[in-house]
Amino acid sequence: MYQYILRRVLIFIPMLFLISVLLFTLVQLAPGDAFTGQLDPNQDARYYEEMRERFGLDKSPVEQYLMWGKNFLQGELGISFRHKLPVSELIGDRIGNTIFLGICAYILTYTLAIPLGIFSAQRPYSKWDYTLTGAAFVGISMPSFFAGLLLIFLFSFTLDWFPFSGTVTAGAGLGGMEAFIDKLHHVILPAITLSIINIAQYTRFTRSSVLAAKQQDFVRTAYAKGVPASVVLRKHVLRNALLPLVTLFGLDMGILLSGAVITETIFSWPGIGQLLVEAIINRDYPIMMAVTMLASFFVLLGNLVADILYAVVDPRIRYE
Amino acid sequence: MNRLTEMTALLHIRNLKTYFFGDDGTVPAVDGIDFSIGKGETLALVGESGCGKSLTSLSVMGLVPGTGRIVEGEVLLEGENLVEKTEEELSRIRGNEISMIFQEPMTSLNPVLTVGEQIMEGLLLHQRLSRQAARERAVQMLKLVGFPRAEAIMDEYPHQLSGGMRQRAMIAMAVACNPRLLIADEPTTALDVTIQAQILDLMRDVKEKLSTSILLITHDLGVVAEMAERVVVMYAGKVVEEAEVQDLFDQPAHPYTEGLIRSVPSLDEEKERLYSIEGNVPSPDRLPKGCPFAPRCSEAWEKCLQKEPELMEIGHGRRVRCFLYDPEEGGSR
Repeated sequence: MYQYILRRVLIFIPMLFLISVLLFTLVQLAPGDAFTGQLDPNQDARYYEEMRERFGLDKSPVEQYLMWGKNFLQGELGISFRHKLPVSELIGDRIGNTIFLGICAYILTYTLAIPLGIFSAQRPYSKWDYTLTGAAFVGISMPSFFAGLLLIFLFSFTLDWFPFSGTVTAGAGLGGMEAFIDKLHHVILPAITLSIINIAQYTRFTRSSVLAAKQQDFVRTAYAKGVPASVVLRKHVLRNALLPLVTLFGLDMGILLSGAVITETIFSWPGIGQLLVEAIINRDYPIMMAVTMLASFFVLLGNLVADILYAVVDPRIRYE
Repeated sequence: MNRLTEMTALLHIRNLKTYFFGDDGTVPAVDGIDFSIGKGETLALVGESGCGKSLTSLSVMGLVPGTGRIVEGEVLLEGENLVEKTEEELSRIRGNEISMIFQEPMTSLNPVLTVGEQIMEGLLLHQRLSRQAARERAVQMLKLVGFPRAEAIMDEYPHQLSGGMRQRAMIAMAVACNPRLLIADEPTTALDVTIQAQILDLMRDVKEKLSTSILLITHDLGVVAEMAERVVVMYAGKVVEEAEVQDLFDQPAHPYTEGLIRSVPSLDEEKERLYSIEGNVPSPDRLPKGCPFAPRCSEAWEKCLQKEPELMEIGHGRRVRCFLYDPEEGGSR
């Protein structure tokens, strides 16, 4: 098992290398550079030449890549063209917000989807089941940019229950518990937006998984042993039905931590997703590279966690 | 043995009817069956697929699946009617007084729980043993069913065992609480022939040691000959014949039983083709008028297509449902 994990972690290295080459190539293929958008007729053209020289943009792509790679390996993520600040500092300021939003979305997804799915599976083809099925289809079909705007319209503009941007109330100067509650108040709408599709999908998934497990022979065996229905559900049905969700748990980790680009943008949530969008618009290469590399790493890590968790919960799976 | 009275019988099934209620109407899958099992007796319930034999056993357990429901009749376990019990009362009987083993050992054990955990589950539930005592008892059971390294098996998962070993573990699980009745639904059908013999030997052995009665459900007459003392033959949801095992093989009374016995291949006879009963078992939702076997019966006459025969006593503790034995209806036997 430990060998397996070690091997998987070592594979990260060539994978991240390939990802970096691919990303760098894509970035280079885009026309223009960080200073194209800033052209100011009153500015001397020589200024741009100097700037390009200063940031190494006048060199060949290969040289640029090698330069970036060397710095990256030394833990040097570069200076943002736009912010004129170290990229590591920019990410450091925002990653906490992304993780907080991700965890909230995570909690919402699993605490809602699993009970709803089980509830549905316990009374298949009933009115409740059909209602939840309908709701799930609406949820699955709703893109997050639309869901986000709808939530803002309903709960911020119309009802004024929740704020629609930022992570804290500006200038409120709250501390301790109050500050945390204020943060929760801010995170609710973005977290719902981010998790709505997952909630819908996992509700469906849990429902069909539980329904399938209930038909299994070993469930009949459990009843034949005299195990009461509630224990059969908990010990025999759910233990088996929820195994595949564990995999999704790992995969989601990668996706949620790499920043919710659309949701963060809609709610002006200062996370790394929003940072990335801004960097792409400004062709801020160091930020683009750093954030996408970080996201790639999280996705790879999430996949590994999914595989490991699966072996932990399912005795049939062993890694050599 | 004479027909068992309610007093000596362990289990007495009386006019049991289990129907399914679907969108397309009612399906009488088990339609008024009667039989008894004595203490320490092995009774075989025989019939083709779809004749209602498995559903009969599930009705006894109170585990009728889907839209099925027991609509009439009694299942008396030493005089207590199980049909009238609540789910809670039944769960105290299942696995404790009546337990069951199933056809598919590969899927009948929970893949994510250890074998030991699954055997102990019933013991903890019914006998209220401590975990330690339950574990000891489970190990003892695994030894009884022939696992030399019982301790190790306790902590293994079902996927680590072969089919035959799983069926042994199932038997250990089923008899752990020392039930009075063990229902075995095609216990050897999914196993290799050599393993089949071992499992049958094991069941006989367990029965001797624990003096359990066995209701053996099978379509394999070889298994019947080897295991059973008495046989009940079912056809289309009804009992068509009941007899001591020796009598049944020597002189089958019902034409259907005759056909079943003739279908067993024999090494003594040289035949190009195996005998088979013409036609198929009618679906319980489209039963023919009259005797349900009449369309496939070589002995049938007009009467058989019009009216359904009753189950009649024909001596020797035998019962048969056929007009051949009813002189009033023109029977000639």
